[in-house]
Amino acid sequence: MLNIIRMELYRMVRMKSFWVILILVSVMNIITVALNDAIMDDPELQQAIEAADSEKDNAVANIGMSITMKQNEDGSYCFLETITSAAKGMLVALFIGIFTVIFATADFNTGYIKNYGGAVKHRWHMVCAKATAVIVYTVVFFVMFIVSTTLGVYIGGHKIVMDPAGKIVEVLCIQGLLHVVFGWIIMSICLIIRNNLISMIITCCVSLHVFAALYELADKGLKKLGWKDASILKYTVSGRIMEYGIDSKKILGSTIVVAVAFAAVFLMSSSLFVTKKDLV
Amino acid sequence: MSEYILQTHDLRKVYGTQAAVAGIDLKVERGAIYGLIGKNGAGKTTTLKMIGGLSAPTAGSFSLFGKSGAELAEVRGRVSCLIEDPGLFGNLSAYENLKAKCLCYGIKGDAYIKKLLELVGLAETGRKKAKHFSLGMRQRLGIALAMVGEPDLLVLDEPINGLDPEGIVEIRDMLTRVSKEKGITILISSHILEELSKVATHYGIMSKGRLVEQLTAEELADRCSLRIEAVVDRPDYASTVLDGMGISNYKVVDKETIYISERLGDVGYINRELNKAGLLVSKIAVNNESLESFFLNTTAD
Repeated sequence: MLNIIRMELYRMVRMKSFWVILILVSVMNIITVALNDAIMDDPELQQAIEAADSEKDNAVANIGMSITMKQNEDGSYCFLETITSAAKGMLVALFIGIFTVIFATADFNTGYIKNYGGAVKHRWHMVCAKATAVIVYTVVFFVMFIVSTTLGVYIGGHKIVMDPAGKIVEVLCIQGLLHVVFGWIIMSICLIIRNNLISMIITCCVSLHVFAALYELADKGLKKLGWKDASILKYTVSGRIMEYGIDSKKILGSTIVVAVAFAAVFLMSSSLFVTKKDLV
Repeated sequence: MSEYILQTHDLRKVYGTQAAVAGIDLKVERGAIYGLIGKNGAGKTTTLKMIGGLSAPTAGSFSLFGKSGAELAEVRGRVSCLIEDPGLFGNLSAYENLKAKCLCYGIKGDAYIKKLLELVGLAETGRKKAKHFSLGMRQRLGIALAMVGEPDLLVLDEPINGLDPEGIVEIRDMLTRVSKEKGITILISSHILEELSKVATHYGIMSKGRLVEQLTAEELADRCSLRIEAVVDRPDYASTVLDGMGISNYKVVDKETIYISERLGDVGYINRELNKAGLLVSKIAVNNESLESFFLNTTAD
């Protein structure tokens, strides 16, 4: 299996989309963070954003992406608040999802799978190798995202206030885990349905809160059926990504359970499909 | 006794209600170049996909290197295949495509990859991406990929498709060479019997998902070459008569048939001499069945 992992990592770093997405997101992140500084420095613009935010909070479900970076009174930024705002807004998940769709199905779409798929002892090894590549990509993406955000803040002439090390490790590890599992879910969907377009649409719908709106509709139905606190989103990986932040220690355990449960279900299903289904 | 490295037993593949392979019993000897011939849609590719481990049989079974069922996983790595179009990463060069597969097989070293590129005539492609390759170059790279890991059984589906005449000769020579030098058994499919006849040592003819005939190269030559076929009452005595006429290139096929492969224009004369010797000749004629017509006759409804 180690050999298949080596092959997957080799082809991953040689994919154009690997570098394009990383560079594009990093550059855009630096620009938007610096732009955010300019907005924060302008009281009129800040007021307008706050008004829009309060309007948004009253809405039932919001489709689209919303990222709000909060600034301290002295103009500095809180490290975790800044990093997790993009993660909670599903921006990181969206790009990890897009890359995963391109990467996971590349060997099927190009037919390269025919060169090695038949010789693999156990086909679930292929799923594990892809899953490992998704972990590596998520870590690289997070590192690039942290570096570019920090750069953006400093370019804007502001400072970053570091949170306690334990807190940083906790939040980044949990958000990292959730994003890896999100990538695995997308990867599994790709391997099961083997259709790039539908997989990409699903990725966008989850990241842009279309599914959240659907869950909200389902919640209404469940509430009518008697489950008063119904909230499907709470039990999903995307819901936990949107929720987990600095003060979320109380949901640490349940978040890990949700992540592990989704990972197990999706990895096992995709392994089963890849094993049972013809490769070509 | 011959050693079969591949044996299929009533192998079947059904897609929906359509039987692509309707129960075939194939036997491939070690070291052979086995040509699988059939028209388009005969079930050749589906058969090769199952043998290559890319597709599961609906029914029946097959053994590779004496292993079957769950034990097949142990020998899967000894089989390599090129099925339909070569599967390549378009954004990678020939070297990088090979490197990816080498990593998967745990093979290290640039020299190995360069040797493979030289073998298929792609050593000069450098950083050129596979998406810019011609069909022939893609086909060569596909063959190089199939050669990674020195497989014991090479499964090639229409490998000469898209190659120019020079390329066809090169690939043909290369296959013959690796089969002889490295002892690699090759299972190769084509719908052009003429081309296969230049490399194959054994043949399997498929039609409508069934294996209609298996024969050796010698048997095929016997069946297809130009000859006089004579049906006589005493072939042993007839051979003495033929010897007396100075004819040596003949073969007594069964208790009443003789194939004569020389002096094809002397049918009347040979007939007269056999009659003169007191033999009863019930049929004598020139059989000029060519490879293609043999194929067409064998696969006809």
